[in-house]
Amino acid sequence: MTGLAAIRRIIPHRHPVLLVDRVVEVDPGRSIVVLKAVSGREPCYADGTEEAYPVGLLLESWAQSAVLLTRWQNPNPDVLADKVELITGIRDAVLHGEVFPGDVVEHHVELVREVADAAILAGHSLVAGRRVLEIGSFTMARRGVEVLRPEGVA
Amino acid sequence: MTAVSTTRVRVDPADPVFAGHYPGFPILPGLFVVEHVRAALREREPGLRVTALDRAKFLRPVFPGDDLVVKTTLTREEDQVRCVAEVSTADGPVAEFKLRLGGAA
Repeated sequence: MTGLAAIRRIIPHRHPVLLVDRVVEVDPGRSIVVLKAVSGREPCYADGTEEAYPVGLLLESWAQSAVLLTRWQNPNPDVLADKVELITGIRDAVLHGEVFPGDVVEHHVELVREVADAAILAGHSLVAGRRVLEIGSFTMARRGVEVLRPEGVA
Repeated sequence: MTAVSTTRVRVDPADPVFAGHYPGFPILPGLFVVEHVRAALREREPGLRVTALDRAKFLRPVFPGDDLVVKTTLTREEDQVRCVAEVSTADGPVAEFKLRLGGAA
């Protein structure tokens, strides 16, 4: 089992946007299974307007699982010392059902292809065995922070 | 039937998201841009949820303090609503989405 402390050593995301809790299975370079427990104490529920877990956050949680897979053997805990993973595209994502506080989401990610500073991934997410999310294709790229903000880092 | 609408939103530099994404290099998670689109849609189509993201393209990162323009084009079909969303700043487009909305919440 890989919990939060180990996750923080692999990816640079931090509270309140570290949206993965535990790695339960990993086949480095191929696939990963990651758990995310949704809680009513998360900031998205502070103003009382949301009931279902926001789609953008669900997708971001899946994406962080994808970064865990691609960084498993090449950790990137600090973007200032390394590069930033940036999402470049998604194709064919289907939201089969909604996710609510109390649900534990099980993200499944497979690495389809990795070339230099880019990767293509695919997968799905389950809640209690029910498929809530399908990701046909997810692409990301690595960029140095100096390239993204040449005028300097805040 | 197609309807176009534009909303503007400032990316609040005080949003706690930037403390964790990332320490020393604040940048909006690309997928959080989807939330700005959802917020724009919620005003126009309350009760509908996103059922599919057929396509998303992320062209440039979004930084704290950026002023986002969210342009949504909705096409109503028999059993769903299709949405094309273009998000841009004064410097040009940052992201484009093709979404489908459906089902009463």
